[in-house]
Amino acid sequence: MTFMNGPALDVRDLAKSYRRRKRTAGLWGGVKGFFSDDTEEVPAVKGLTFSIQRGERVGLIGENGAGKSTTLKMLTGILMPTRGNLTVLGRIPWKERRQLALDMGVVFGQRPQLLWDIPVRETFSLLKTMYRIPDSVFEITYGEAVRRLDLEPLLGTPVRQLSLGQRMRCDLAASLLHAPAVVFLDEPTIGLDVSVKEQVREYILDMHQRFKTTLLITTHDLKDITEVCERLLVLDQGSLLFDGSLREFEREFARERRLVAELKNPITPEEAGRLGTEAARLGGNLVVAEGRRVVLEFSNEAETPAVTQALLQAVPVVDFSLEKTDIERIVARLYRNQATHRPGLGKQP
Amino acid sequence: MSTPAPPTPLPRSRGVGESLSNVEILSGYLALLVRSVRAAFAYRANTVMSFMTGVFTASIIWMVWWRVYEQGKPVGAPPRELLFPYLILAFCLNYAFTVNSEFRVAQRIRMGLIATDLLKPLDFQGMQLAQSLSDFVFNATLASLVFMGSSAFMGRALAPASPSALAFFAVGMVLGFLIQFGVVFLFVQGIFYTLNNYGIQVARGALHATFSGLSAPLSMFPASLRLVGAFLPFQYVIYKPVLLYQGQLVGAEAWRTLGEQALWAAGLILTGRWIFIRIVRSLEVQGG
Repeated sequence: MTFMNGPALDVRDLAKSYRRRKRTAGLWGGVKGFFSDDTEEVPAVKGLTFSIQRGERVGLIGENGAGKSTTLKMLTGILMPTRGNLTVLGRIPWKERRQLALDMGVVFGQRPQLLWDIPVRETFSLLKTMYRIPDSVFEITYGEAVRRLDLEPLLGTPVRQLSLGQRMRCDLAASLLHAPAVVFLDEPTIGLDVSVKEQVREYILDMHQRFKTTLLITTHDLKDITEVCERLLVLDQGSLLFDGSLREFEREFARERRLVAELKNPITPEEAGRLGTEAARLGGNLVVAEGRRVVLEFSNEAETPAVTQALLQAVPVVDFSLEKTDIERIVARLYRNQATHRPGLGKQP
Repeated sequence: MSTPAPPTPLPRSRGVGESLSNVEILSGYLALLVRSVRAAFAYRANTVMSFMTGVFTASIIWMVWWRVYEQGKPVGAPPRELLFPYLILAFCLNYAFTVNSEFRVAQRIRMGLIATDLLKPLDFQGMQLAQSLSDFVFNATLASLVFMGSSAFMGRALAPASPSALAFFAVGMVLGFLIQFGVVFLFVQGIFYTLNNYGIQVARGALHATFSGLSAPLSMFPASLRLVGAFLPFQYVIYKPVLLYQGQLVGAEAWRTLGEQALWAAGLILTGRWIFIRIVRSLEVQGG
């Protein structure tokens, strides 16, 4: 495989375990721990296999402790795998980290790479020299970052005086100044307000379009995924639970739809009972019946016209809409019911 | 979210897979050094306080020695005209060589920020050297104030013994700095295991204060301590460079000292590097 050909990321049977000292609770536990060398092996990632093509935008999600950050650290070369093989742009990250750094941008949402005590502008200029960014490219990446992320008022401020949102915007800009071929974003919108999140996502997409950057984003904010990514990897306890497009994910896991209706009059208990019975007959549920609002939830297998007709016959309706289950609800349910869902979930390479 | 118009694609910084040339790498370290010096000026009050405390502590030691010499020169001690210039030079060198690596690296390890350092296209040890050099530039500027102030009082007593002594000292000082950097970098490796700089810093500080000749020339130490010190690198950081300046080591002895310094510097830096490479392979970056 060369730097120019092949997938951007190629991961085969990747695993990582940590060695942890055994500790027990309480003061006596602390004292015992001080004199004890007992350790245990804690597996964080258990045999991941996937590949990401150049220019793909991929989201990596999973509950806390699912192994997202460990995977990202191995992909960036700061952790050495316990087992398995991985290459990023044809290089082995933990062996060729410094060379890879030139083609890689990394944002750790909670770990700023900016120099703490000097103005933002100075860090940008340091990175320009460090990465040897040509003026022609720097003018664009710096100019675009300043314009799109509203950095102008922040450039002269020491980083320690910036708010979290301001620092995140600067950090994102810093990571993309050298127009890297692969960008890893670890919770890039953590702690940001809604408008800044939008700005950040738009900027990421813009840089992707300009440079055909390969993106891998780990996040707990699923809007980052739906608005930026085209493919999703779901991790559960260190294993890959799902690997596929967002559309596939929805098709596979959005097992029900919702019919939301606004009624002409407040619904009576009799009407609600009738509607509930009819919904059950069609394979659905009446989940909300309050005042003028009614919500019916029914499986994908149920016929929409039949459910709609049942509703219209049961109560006078002013307006109604059909909603798919959004990704946030699917993921929340997935996390809650991992054990139940695990055997049949998604396709795995 | 509104979809922006497709922007014009641009060329990358360089071809994917291309590396930096040595000149480009060096300019990266230089840029880091300059920004680090700039950052050192950020805390004015802290700088003034630590400098004044250093001068105060050194003054106490000088006053004690002054009192001792008033009772007569101790047996085996150098004459007063050599001792006090020695103490002032030792203070200035020590102050100039004070590097904050342990604290700096410990903070970054504890917060997991070390990850961002490891993801730079420059070598970690090289970046630490650049930052230590920035500490040196900053601290040497302050130390030179003490040196100039003392020279105004002591006149020729603080001047180098000869032009060749000054040349030997200049080289010895550079090598002394590299030894100091090598020692500190070696101790910094311990922080990857302890995750706290305090114990490491205290241990290194105690060895340095004892065996570098900061408070008194090592020739005044008991034979047993001198023997231990002979096997450690600390005397090459302060004691030997000051002796070179004062012309107490000349000719072949001076050359031999520089050779020993070079060996220590290379040995320490390479050992630190060897250990660091192994540590990084088993590194656990703190936090998710």
